[in-house]
Amino acid sequence: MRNQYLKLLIIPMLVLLCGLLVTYLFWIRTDHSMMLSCHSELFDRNAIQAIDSRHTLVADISVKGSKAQVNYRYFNLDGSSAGNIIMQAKVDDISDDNRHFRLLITDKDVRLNDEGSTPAHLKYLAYVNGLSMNEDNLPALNFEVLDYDKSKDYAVILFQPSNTVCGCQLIKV
Amino acid sequence: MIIIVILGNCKFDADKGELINETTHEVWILPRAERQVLSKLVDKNGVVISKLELGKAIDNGNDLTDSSVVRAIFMIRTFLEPQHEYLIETVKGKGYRLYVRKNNIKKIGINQENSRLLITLAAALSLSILAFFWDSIDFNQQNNPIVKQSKQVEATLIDGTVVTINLFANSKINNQQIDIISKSLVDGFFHCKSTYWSDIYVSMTYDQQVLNITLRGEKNGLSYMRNLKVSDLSMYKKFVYPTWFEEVDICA
Repeated sequence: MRNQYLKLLIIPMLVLLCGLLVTYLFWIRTDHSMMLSCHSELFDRNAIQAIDSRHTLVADISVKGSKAQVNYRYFNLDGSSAGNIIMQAKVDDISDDNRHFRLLITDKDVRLNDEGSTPAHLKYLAYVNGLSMNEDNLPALNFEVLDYDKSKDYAVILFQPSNTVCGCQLIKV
Repeated sequence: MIIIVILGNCKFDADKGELINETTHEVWILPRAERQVLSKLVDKNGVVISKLELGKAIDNGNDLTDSSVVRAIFMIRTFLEPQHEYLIETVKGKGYRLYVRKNNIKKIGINQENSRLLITLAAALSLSILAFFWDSIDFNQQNNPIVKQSKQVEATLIDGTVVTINLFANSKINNQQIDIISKSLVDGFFHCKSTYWSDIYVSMTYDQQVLNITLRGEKNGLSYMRNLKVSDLSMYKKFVYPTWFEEVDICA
């Protein structure tokens, strides 16, 4: 009789446990959020001109739950816009240690500046970010946190498939 | 409890102390030092462990010397083959760290008592997890494409300050450019009287069109960083040269 009661208790307990586990997994899965801002100085080496063509780049990467946004804003040295790349992405995979992220780009908008020269880096990035496709033909962008210190608000990131290392500021969100 | 760890093409059976290359089927019964070091790295996967800690005897035997630990690491990396030696990372001045995904560490064997209950529980949990993650399971997923630093060199300034240069490449071929650049950087920094930079990260895009240099250090107690990206699409590329270092004020 006692065993009978135990058996009756086991099934609801299992269901409750599974429910708690699913809630916990859902919570940890959606809790990933990160925002990075990476400032770069760009130099376009040109065999014809002796002086490099120079621009600046601000790359903002924002990951929140299952969604991500990657914005590249290019500027001329006088501060005027030299074009931008705005990408929407979904988070495909995050490693257990939160150091490897795999984003699938769902939407990409490349805007070139009509006036003046387009930075070579913008053309390159617009090309390379469409290279690595997943099975749904969505381009993938991987990044790995090589080094970071939350107390000092910095992270060094390695982006793939371009194999680009970039130092970024960790933005508190 | 039997622990099996997948290390690239190799499988480490912690219980038997065997490292098996699953491609060549070569079995290496690890000597004491290698077995101890690898077991400790697996136990603290993802955590940096000092040479001293790695050398401390697990059983009643003698502790390993630092050079024995270094040799053991070298032997393990050699067996893992060059394409997977990055799994054991050298963290300069701190020790070593193993990088293995948790799903590559398999623990086999459960307490046989109440096995029916455990099996029911495991099945219910598996079904719940499978149902939850069904949409996100990538059945075609390849091995983790982690790329680790391919090389680390040091540049010494006139005043003796040492700057670490980390070079990243995602290929084992056509890396001459990055070698040339590292030599130029070492030479360039030699002429710096002082610098805020402590670490430099250098990477070349896979097609050798863009060079990325990240300089990191501290200035007045705050993080200080610069990213320099040089695009050179010409056939005869010259990414860095002494006057460019002066133009960009690489020391500052």
